[in-house]
Amino acid sequence: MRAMIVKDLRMIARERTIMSAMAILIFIASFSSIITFGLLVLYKPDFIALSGVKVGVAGECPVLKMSGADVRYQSLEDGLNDFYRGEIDALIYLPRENTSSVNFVTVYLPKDEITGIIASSKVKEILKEYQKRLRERNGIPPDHGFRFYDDEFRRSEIKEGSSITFRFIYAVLIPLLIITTAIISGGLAIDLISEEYETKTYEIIISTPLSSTEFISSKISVSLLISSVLSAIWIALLYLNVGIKNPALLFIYSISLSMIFSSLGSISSLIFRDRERSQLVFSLISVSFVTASFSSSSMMAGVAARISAGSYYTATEFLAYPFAGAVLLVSAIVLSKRLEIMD
Amino acid sequence: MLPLLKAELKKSARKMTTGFRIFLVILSIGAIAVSYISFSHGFSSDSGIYISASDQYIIQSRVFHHFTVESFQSGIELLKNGEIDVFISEREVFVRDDLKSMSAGEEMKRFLENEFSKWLYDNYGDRAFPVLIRAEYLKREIKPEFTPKPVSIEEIKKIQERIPSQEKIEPEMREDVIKRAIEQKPLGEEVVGIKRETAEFFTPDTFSPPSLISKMVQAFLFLIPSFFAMQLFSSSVAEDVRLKRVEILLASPIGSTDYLLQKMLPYFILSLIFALIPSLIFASKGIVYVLPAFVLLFSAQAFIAVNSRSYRELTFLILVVNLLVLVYLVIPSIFSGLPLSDISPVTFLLRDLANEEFSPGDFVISAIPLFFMGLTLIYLTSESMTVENIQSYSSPFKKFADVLSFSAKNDALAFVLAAMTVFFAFFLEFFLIFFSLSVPLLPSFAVLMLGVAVIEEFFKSVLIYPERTIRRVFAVAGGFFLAEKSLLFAKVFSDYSIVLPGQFLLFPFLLHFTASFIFAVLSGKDWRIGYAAAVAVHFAYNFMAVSMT
Repeated sequence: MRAMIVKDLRMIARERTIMSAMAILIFIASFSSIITFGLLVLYKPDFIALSGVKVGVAGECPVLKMSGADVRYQSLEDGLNDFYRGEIDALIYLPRENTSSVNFVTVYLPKDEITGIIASSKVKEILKEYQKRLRERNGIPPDHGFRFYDDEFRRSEIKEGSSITFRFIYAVLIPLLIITTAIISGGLAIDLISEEYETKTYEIIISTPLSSTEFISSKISVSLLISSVLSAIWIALLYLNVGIKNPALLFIYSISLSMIFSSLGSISSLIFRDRERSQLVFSLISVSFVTASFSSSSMMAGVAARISAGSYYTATEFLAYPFAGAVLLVSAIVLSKRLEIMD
Repeated sequence: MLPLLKAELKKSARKMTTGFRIFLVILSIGAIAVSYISFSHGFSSDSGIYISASDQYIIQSRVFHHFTVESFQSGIELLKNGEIDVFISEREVFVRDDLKSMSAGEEMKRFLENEFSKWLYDNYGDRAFPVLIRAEYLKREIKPEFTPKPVSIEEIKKIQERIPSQEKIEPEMREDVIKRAIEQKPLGEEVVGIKRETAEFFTPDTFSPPSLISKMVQAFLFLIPSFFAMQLFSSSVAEDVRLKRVEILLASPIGSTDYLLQKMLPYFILSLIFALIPSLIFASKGIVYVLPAFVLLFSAQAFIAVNSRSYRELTFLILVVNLLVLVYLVIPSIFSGLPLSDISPVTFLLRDLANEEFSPGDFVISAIPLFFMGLTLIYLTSESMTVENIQSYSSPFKKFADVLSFSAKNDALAFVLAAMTVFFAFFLEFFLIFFSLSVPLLPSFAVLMLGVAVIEEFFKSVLIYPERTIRRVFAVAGGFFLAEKSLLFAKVFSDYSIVLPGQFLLFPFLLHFTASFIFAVLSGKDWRIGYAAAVAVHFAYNFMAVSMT
């Protein structure tokens, strides 16, 4: 069995398969960081810059005009002329203000320009201030009145955008890395097994003292070894760069999921005995797993997020995955024995 | 007629027995049901990611795991020890100065604002929401003029007609807008709904720039099912290669291109059927927008299947390529509102789904690079189907360089291939731009410039290496220059070239010619020396050009 493991690892090293697997994980990581950047630009445009944009207000709206506009216009026409000339970056238009009822405001922003996104943030601030003033005039409390402090009782400024970044790293990126590593492990198990079937080398292997259970165990071991290396690398990098919590538990958790997927891959290969059908069935199962994993806090992604963020999770939530992995692993080994007898 | 197509269908029927087909249908229905339930349920992996505590309040929010503490002092102690992320008491919220606690503070602020909005609505009704916003995005071209012309009266009238008057807006609508603003839905909800969005009003708290992100899941519905058909196709080709069937077929009158096209056809049609289903459900022309992506993905899978050394390599390379193409297709839509987003045909799919207007010409421009890359890859795959190449143990990357080099059989072909490789260079440079966003400005700038030089000189050097003559240098530099200039005519790519200096007229040609000439001269003894010198010249030019602009 050891010789079988060494042979497969040597082939993997020779083809630099592990390098491709690393490339996949790097893509996943960069993919997520770009999404985070995009979200920050769109939803917190002041993340990139806010100074330098000019917002105009047009119409008969004295309170709105006092709420932080840079330029004030009497008519929409004057405002639009300046907007098209580039004198202002956004125009707020309210034909006639009604301080005791709802005001329907139209905002003109430039299409397909980054200025439009940045200006929308300033527009939002102006209109929030306007809403506050109108509420005060009508005897309505303008805000909730809660104030923020640090743990030394000093007033604290809450930075906008940090939650998007945090939730993306812990609730999307880390679960995606774990799931991708597990899928890589499952795919590898299928390829290692079906290649032996399709090139008829399985029959030669089985005619040696190596049993079918040892054959399957060695293939699963190789895929788990590869996923261990991958998990160790990305967990170490995240630990050093982001400071994730519980790296050892996260490693065990990642290996447990790899065990689930490589056992599923092995079962699929043992049953269908060709790569085409095994990979197809495995892909369909993986799609269900991946989509379901983000839908509940107790599913794979939710538990991974809370382990790595140092948040609260129960022992059952954590242990369910190593247990499921062990059950599936034993099932794969038992199935290989049964199939050997049937052959 | 089409004998291989018939053989492929027969083989498929033999493998896919009735029992397996029934199993596959059950599994597919299960996968669709699980995915539908998951998407309807919404994104919940961040549930309980923060820990909050209070000596007075009970916080009921998905992102908080909340518990009550005995006293103010014990809450502060827990916060200081890092056991909780946010502590709330009276009208005061306490956080630590680290990312997790500050993030929890931001979420708590949002939670308080939402609760406050609900309280306002319950106590004051729609009087508490006196501002409703409608956004309109206007295209403008700012030109430096001494006496700028005013906007025409017709244009002003058109804009004014679109403004809804106070009287036209029904009271129920106001109520609906306000209710929607205060009842925040979890991210991901309704993403599989088929309702088309219409222009709507926002309160100042909910107003944000338009985003196609909520439609992204729908884009995956058009793309992901087709990946199964592609997987079957690549497995079938790989099996033919591994079991030496291809070598026998190559000895028959059927050409390699015929083999590829007949092999691909049934799976390509299956992919189109998969894309047609969501197109019909969403009443969209989605199938048109994903067609260029299918051409590229199928051809890339064909190349990998023919040139991989084992199933392991096949699986991993296909995963890498699929991920790269998916990122190229999906990520630009995140930057909707910026010209860069128009680089991908999927952005137009999402715009179509969001009922946004766009020019069909812009979609065609976004599709051209994918089509040309796909056609080039089909050609290269067909050229790589020789017994020597299939039996060779070289890596797929080396085989790509070898077949590209070998395919440039004469200067005319080298010219055409050089033009085609520009699309591959742009594709790879797109990832360089994104990489540069996540590192500090100065190193990112240098890496970007160096990366562009490495990629472009690689393609040119590969085409020049087999025939290092001045004619070949002209052909390759000319082909590359012409394709690059043609691309820059399109608005989206000219914006793209702001960071990739290609906007000047003759300088880029001189650069391509000089770098290629240096490679041709210096690569006689060792190609590495020539390549390094060409990259150095290209990098120096890029660096200077960008520094000057």
